[in-house]
Amino acid sequence: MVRINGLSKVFKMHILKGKTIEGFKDVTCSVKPGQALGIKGKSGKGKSSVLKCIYRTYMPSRGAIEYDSKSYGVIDLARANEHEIINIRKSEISFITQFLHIIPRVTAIDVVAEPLLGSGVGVDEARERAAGVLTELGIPKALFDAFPSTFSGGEKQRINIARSVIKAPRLLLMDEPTASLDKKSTMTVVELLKGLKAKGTTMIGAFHDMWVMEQISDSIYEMDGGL
Amino acid sequence: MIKKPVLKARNITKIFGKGCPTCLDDDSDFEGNICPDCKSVVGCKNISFDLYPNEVLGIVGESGSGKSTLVRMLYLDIEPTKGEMFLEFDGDLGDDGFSGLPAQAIGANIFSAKSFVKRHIKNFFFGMVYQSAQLGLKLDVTAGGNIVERMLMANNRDIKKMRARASYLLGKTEIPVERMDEPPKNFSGGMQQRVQIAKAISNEPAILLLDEVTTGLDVSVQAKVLDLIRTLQNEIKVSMLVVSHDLGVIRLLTNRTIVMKNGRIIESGLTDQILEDPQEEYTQILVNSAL
Repeated sequence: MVRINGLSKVFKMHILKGKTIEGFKDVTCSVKPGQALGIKGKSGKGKSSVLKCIYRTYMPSRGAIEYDSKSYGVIDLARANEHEIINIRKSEISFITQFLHIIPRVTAIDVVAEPLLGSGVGVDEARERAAGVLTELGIPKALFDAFPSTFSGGEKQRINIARSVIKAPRLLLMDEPTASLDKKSTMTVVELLKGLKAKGTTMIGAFHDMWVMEQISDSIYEMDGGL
Repeated sequence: MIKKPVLKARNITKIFGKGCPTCLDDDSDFEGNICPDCKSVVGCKNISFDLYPNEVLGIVGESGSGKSTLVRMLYLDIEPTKGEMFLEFDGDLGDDGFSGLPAQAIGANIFSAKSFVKRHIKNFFFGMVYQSAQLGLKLDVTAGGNIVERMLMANNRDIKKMRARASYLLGKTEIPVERMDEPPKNFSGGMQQRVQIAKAISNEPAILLLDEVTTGLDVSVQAKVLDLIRTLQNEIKVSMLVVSHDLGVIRLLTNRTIVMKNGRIIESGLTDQILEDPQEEYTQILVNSAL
């Protein structure tokens, strides 16, 4: 489903007098449809940067990311144009980032339902499905209509996860999805992700927590380059 | 799968001054925004981009980078020194909405079109919200009157219908309908801005141009204006060009962003990529200057 070949990222920092910082170098790995690839490595080795390159929040410096897209066939995400990336993000690839990016003045349930609205699902159905995922993740009903900016770290992260999985994406990227969660919530999230994988979602995730990684991953790639 | 652009801008240049080959040639370039040979001021130089249907495109850059000059050229307020703009629209914006481009505008450079074609496009195709309400509204005419005037220009004639729509739009923009017959000079800055937005969308434009709409408003009022724009984004099929120097506004509203400096586009890309992995020196400075 995804074949990463010789992927490298170098940051050229003009504001630090043109200094270059190597994010990671020559990453080569792949994941088959419906399987999960875990990326492990110490902090600063570039795990997040690889994920951001796949999602194209970062511009890869070298190498290729071949992805079997539903709408475009085989496409190199490292070189795809902006509109292809926007469409693929809308309908195929989701990213559970390390932190929830708050949308001001939007309630928890609407934050989660929003990705569905963009794909033509009606408001009532979208909210109903959002409520389902939030309940599955153990968010109390009383919080559905509150603003996530006031939530605890663990609650925010579960909102973030709910928003990323509500459409059951073809490819799910995860950056330390359980880092801010307690044991109980972590187990709930692992169950949710396992269920999603059983239904066919392919996954690539960076993990610190070895237990979570082993629970979810079918194969593991270790990063040892970088800083 | 990818639709055709609704607006194509090609090599748009605006020189304030007499101009010379150095500042006018597409191939020539120089540092800064003053022509080294004729000392003319470069407002915009070789601006080319595409705006797609339902897309929200951001334009960022410091004061004086040519953002407003560009938007005013697109809205046909001022004439470019050279360059082309093409419009295309094959959708349908509902019963009362825009029904098509005039035949003379199809495939033609709008900047060199006849004035009646330009007028038609300005009245039917675009909606514009200026940074300053003084430019976008007649402050002595009632709020409702301002909106109705815009609809009259788009060939509406039924006064009852127009008033109903004006009051609907004011409700939508959270202006108390009782104040519909009051002139906007009595309103606060945030309210004036929302009347401007109501006016700009009254003719259901295909493209909405927003020039620094939240600048100078206090944060709670800014929030209301931004929420309104986000609602419009979800509810009506309109493409938007959002000009702002506020990166928070750009992050919240747009998918793609253009970065301008000294009248030129120096970088463009996905908004999250521009903000997290900016390539150019100026963009890195801009992103790192944000609070």
